Amino acid sequence: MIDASELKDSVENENDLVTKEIKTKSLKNIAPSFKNYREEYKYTPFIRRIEKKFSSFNPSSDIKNHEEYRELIPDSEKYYIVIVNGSFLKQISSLPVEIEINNYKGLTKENREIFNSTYSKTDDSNFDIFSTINSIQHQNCLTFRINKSTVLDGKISIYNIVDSKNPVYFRKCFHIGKNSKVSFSEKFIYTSHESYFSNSVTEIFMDENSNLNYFTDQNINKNYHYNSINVFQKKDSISNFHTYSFSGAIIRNNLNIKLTEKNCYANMYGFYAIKNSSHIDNHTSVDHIDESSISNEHYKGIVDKDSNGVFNGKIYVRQKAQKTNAFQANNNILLSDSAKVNTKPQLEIWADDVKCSHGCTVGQLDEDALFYLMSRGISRKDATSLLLSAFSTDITDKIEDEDIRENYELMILRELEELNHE
Amino acid sequence: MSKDDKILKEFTSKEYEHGWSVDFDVDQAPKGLNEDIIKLISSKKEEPKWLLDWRLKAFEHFKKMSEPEWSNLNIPKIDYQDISYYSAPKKKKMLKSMDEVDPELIETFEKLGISLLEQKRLSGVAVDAVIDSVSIGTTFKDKLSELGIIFCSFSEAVKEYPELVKKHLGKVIPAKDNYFACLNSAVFSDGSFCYIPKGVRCPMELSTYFRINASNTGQFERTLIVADEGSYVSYLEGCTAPMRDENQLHAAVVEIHAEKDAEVKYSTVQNWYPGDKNGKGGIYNFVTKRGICNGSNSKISWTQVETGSAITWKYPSCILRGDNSVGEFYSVAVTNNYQQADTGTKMIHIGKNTKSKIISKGISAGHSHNSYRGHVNVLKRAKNSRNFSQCDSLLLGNKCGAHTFPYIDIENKSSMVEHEATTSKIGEDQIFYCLQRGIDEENAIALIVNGYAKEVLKQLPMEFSVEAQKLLSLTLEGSVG
Repeated sequence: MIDASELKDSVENENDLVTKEIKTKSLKNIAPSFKNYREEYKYTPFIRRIEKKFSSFNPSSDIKNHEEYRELIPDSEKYYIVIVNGSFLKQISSLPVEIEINNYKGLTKENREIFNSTYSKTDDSNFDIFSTINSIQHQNCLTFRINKSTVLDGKISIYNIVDSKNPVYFRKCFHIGKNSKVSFSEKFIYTSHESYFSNSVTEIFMDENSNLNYFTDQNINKNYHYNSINVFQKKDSISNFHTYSFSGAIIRNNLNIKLTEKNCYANMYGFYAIKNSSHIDNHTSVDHIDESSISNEHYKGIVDKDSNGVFNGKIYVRQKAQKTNAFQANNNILLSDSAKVNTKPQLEIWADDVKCSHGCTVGQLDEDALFYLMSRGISRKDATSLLLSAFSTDITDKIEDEDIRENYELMILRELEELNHE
Repeated sequence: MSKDDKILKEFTSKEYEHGWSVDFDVDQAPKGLNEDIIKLISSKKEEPKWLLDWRLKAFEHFKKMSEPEWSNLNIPKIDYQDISYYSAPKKKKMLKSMDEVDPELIETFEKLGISLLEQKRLSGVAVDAVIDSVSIGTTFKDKLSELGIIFCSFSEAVKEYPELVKKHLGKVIPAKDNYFACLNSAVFSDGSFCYIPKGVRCPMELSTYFRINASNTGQFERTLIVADEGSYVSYLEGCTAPMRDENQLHAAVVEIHAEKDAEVKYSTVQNWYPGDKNGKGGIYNFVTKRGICNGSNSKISWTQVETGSAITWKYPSCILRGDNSVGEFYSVAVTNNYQQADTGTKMIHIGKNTKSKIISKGISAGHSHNSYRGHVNVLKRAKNSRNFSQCDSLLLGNKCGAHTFPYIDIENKSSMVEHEATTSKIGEDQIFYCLQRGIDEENAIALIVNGYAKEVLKQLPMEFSVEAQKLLSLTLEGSVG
């Protein structure tokens, strides 16, 4: 179904020489990506499902009146970036002065240099078919430059709006300077309730001693979404990723972190509460390349009627990465017999002086705990909600910023209300 | 050279103890894999037509298959045409008792420390020894037959109990199951057959010792164990192969049927030649082992200690079909030098209230790679099922690797599954604690490793446990982390 000539045309039609070079390289990655597909998408029949909906992988670039999109942004937002069908709408965005946001193609040669170390480094290491297609089909790569020693309070929201029957490609590249501290919150908004597809690839380069908080939330009804975040950390940097997923025909999240230097710290937290034929697939990988780094990963999920939760966590510890500390856990609660969980926590270790552990559980709510609450006059439904929200606090507690945490806690409570309590 | 390096070097230079080869008169088929060879094997063994047809059908399918690539192993290309698929010590006359067994053969067993006579007299273990494809000398047969237990070579079973064999052969592992099982189905040479009748508790441990003796002969064993309602059997399998430079292929199949209330305990100690310290030679061990708990309350337990083979590809599995059935898997896998192991288990929960437990302990040293690969699958109708898995890895030295690939698929809300894994080295503090108490470093490590593997070793029957502990401490002598 992936039409090679269509992809070749996309490469041929590229005017920007550097981008064309990247795309040509990606074209060669199609074959190895396909080889990986069978194992990497074992539980997520993504291509087969997409195939039924779309005849072509060509992107769309039509954009309606900007005002319509502005209405989608809540008034409470201070800083926000609006991207519609892959194109950055500067006119309706509100940007802090400390951050330079531009399309890669609009950058001067010197400014491009900064991003060349990361832009399109993704496919080389991962060979994911959707990332590869994104590399070939995306039209604009949006670059974010945070200068060194920039500390921003509050978060910057990124609104990715999908308003097209054709596949939509988002591409972003971040360069976070030395000693900077920033928070981003990314949302995906679909203007239809079903059958739209967006493919987002983000590359983040973190310089020495930088600090990043990155939130992603996905509640996209019956739409399709592929999201790949690729992080390259330099020494003493700290990254915190928080991923919340609530609905989607298929959502696939790839979070790949490379700890390339010493003393890096990576935290990955995820929570999913899904129902009504949703399918959430979280694939993470942490690659410890140099020594004395710490990675910590915790994903929790509640899976209800006809839904499927997939988790695959990979930890690689290279030979040089002595004194690594890596922790990984995945806990799931199944609420229905038609729900399904596939989990695969994976460790690959080549160094001996390390502490690595992983654990995963699949189970249900403790009947004794439910009984305890019910014996105190709490209805079964409320008791279940209470226990489920307690289950989620392990993840929400990890959010430092109080406002953001409260926001997510409320969001989770609302979602839990809608779950089926048998 | 630091002390660690010195000790590691000492240990890597240790030669394989069981490396010798006895020259029997060997009746060997020409190299190559084709229909004629299969017909030859079948006719040599005087097999009935249905079995030949079954073999040929498997071979037809085998031709269409390709080698699996998913494992975390680096398998050099195997030339299946360059292997002789049948070799048997030449039959001189029918043997009636142990006294008539070739003395050279008995000596072979004695070198292995498993003298048939000794075992017969002292340990009460019935040994069905298999050397290069043909069973010779089965002990304790009379005693077992009193109870109605059938324990004989596979070819004998085909002749004498064709109905039983036909009913169970290929039912747990179909001929087309996977590449290596399919190859085995086409060319299997011999193996063991065991049937425990209703309500019988087998009074002794049944044991088979496999050895690959002639050079360049792949050994294609096939074991079939049938435990009828309410019966119990403990089965031991031990393997050693002499030192050879060329790699030898071993693709065995073990099938177990456990009916209602039956229990089967299957223990393996495998110490085939792992290749020399540069990774030259060694056995390729591609084994398919699977048991089915057919009836309710049945139990299958696999215990393995894997210290040998250049490449190990082995996943003893349980299909828990009967309600309340139990599957267990205990494994210690040790790899050194350039050994590679990709081993683990599959637990397929089909019946209600089924339970499974997986304990896997991997130890890697030298340049070796040790992977655990497991699959726990709880199907929708397997209500209230329970699984607990633990897979720990111990790394000795910084050139080896430990990998874990657990697949966990759960499809109902009343089941509970837990998985945990850790990777570590022997802690300085643990060694320090022992040193403080006057235990020297060597013994401290032996103590710690033995403690690490204890959970699995204690599952082994006594005789095996001693052998396994000896193997472990020998292999890991002086590997300071």
